[in-house]
Amino acid sequence: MNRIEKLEKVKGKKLIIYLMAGDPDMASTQALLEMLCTEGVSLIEIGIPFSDPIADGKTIQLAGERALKNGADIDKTLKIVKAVRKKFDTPMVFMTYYNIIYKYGFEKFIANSLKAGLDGAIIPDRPYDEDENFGKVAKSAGYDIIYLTAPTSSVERARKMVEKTSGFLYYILVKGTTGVKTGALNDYKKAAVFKKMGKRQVFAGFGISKPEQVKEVLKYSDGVIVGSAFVKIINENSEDKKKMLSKARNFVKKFSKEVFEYEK
Amino acid sequence: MSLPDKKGHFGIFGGSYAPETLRALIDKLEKEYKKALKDKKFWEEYNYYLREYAGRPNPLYFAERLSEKFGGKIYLKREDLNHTGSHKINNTLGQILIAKRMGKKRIIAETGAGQHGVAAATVAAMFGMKCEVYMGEEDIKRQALNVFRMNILGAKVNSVSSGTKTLKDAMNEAIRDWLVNVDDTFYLIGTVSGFHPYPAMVRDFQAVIGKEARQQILKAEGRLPNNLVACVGGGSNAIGLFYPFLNDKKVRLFGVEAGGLGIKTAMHAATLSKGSVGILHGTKTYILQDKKGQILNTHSISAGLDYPGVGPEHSYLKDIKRAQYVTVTDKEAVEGFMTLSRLEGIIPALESSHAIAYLKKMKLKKNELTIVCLSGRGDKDVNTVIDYLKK
Ligand SMILES: Cc1ncc(COP(=O)(O)O)c(C=O)c1O
Repeated sequence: MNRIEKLEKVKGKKLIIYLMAGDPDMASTQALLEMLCTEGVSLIEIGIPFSDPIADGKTIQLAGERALKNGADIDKTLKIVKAVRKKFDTPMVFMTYYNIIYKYGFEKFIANSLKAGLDGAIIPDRPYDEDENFGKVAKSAGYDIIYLTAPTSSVERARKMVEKTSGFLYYILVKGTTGVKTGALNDYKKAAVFKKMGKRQVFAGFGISKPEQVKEVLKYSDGVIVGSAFVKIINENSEDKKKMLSKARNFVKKFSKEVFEYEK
Repeated sequence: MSLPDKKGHFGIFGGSYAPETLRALIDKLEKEYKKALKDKKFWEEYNYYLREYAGRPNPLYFAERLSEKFGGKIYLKREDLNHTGSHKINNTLGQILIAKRMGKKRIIAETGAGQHGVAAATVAAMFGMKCEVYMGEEDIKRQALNVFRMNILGAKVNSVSSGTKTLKDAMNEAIRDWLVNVDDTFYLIGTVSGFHPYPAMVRDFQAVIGKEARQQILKAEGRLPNNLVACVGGGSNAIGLFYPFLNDKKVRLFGVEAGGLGIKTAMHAATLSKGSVGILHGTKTYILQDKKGQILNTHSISAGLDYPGVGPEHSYLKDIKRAQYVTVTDKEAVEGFMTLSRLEGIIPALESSHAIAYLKKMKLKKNELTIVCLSGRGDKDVNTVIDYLKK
C-alpha cells in the first residue's frame, strides 16, 4: 500500500496544500514543506514551474516565473522531497505541465520520483487518453497519476477517470483557472456525483481561498485543496523568511481547524 | 491519405492535450465540425461567403519579372487580395459558421501580426457576435495598424503582458479566457495548431488555397507545378496550399520558417528546423524548448511567424520527408519584401516575404514551375520595414 492509499484509510476529511517549488527559493520550499508536514496536512502538491501554464491564474503564473528565475526544476525539487521524506511520511505529489515530464522522459521521471519518495503527479494538460503508455508505465511502477475532473466533464469521461485515477480524484470546483475569485464556486456539488461513481476519495480545489468556504465544499467531497491563497501568503511575506513561515503556518492552522474538526 | 486519426493524431503528432474543463466543449466542437464536413448546405454557405464576401477565387498571378530574376516560371497565389488582406479570412469564415451552428455568441481569438485578429473581428462584426482578441504587448506595438482596425470593427483587444508578450502568450491567455467562459464562448484559433480538431479543421478551411491553385495552374500551364513555397508560422497558409497536392508526390513542398538573426543564434523562430518534439497549446509537435522543456523565446521581424510551436501536420510531413522546412533571415525577408514591391508592384506582408525571399536560394531551372503563397499584403508592415532599413 502506498502513502496515498494509506491516506484513504485515515478517517475524516483531508486538507491538501499546494505550493510552488523555488518560490521564493529552494531552501524556503524545503522549510515550508517541513512546516506543512509538521502541521499535519494530509497531502502536499508541489508545483514545478513551466513557462506556459495555461491552467493557472495570475498568482501561480507569477510564482512560476519567480521559481523559474530561481532555477527550480524536477531534479532540484526531487532532492528536497528526498530530504523531507527522511523525516516525514506525508504524501507528496508534483503538479506540473506535461511538456516538462515528456522532455525529462516519463520512465526516468517515474523512476526518480519513486526513488526520492514522491508519490505521484497531477498533470492538468495530459488527459488519460493521450500518451496512454505513460499511464501504463506509472501503474505498473505503483506510481500515482491523479486525474482532474471538471464541472463540465461528461459522465462517460468522469467514469473513465474514476477508474483510471490512482490515489484520489481531483475535482476542479470552478470553470476557470486556478486562483479565481471567491464566490464563484458554483459547481461544487457535482463532486458528490463523482464520489458516488467509485470508491475513490474526491478532493476538490481551484478557488478555495478562505476557511469559511470549506464547510460547504466538504459536504460534497472528501477534502479540499488550497493553492493560490497559500502561494499569495508566501509571496507577500517572502522578504522575511521567519515571518513567512509563521504566517504560512497560521494560514494552515485556520484551514486545519475547519477541515479536521468538520462534522456533518 | 486520411489523417489525422480519430483522436487527431498525425503519426505521433497532434492529439488533444487539453485541460479537462475544456474537454466537453472541444468534443462538441469536433462533432459539429464532423457534421459540417458532410453537410452540403454548410459548404454552400461557406462557399457563398468566400465568393461574395472574401472575394474568392483570387488570381494565380504569373509574376513575369520575378521569374526573370529567380528563374523558371513563378506564380503567386494572391491571398493578399482577399477581403481583410490575408488568407486568415478563409479560416475565420469557416469557424464562425461552426460557432453559429453551436449557438455561440462570443468569439475569442489570439493574434500575432493582427491579421487573424482582424479577420476574426471582421466576421464577428458581420455575424453580430461579440469579439475579444488577445495580443501580446510587443505585437500591439509593432502591428499598430491592425489594432486600430480591430477596434474600428468593434472588437476588444486585450494586451497580454505575460511571458514573452507575443503570440504564444496571447494564445495562453485566450485559452485561460476560454476556461472561464467555456459555456458561451467559441475560441477561433488562427492557425493549424491547438487541440484536435483545430489543426484538421483549420486545414480544411485553408485548403481552398491549394484547391484553387491546383485548378488554376493546370489551366494556365497544363501541368502540375514542381515546387510549392509558403511561409510557416503556425502553418495554416502553408498547409492550405500543400494539402491538395500531398498525393502528387512529384510536387516538392517548401515551408519557410523565420530565421530571425540566423538559426545559429538564439534569435529565430525556426521551430521545425531547430526544435524538438514536445507538447504546447494542446498538441504534440515540434517546439522550440530548452533541455528542461521550458519554451524558448523566439524572434522574428515578422510578428505572424514569431511562434515557438507549429501545426502537428507539418511535424508529420517533416518526419516522413514529404515536405522540406527551410529558413530565411530577417534581412533576407526584408530584401524579399523590397524585391516583390519593386519588380511586381505588390507589397507583401513580412510573413509572405519569407516565402518570396526563399526563391533566391532555390536556383530554379528554366523549365521549373513554382507557386508561392502570397499569404498577405504588407500595409501593416511598412513602419517596421522603414525602421529596419534606417538601421
Ligand atoms: C500574412 C500572414 N502570413 C502568414 C502568417 C503565419 O500564419 P500561418 O503559418 O498559420 O499561415 C500570418 C500570421 O499572422 C500572416 O498574417
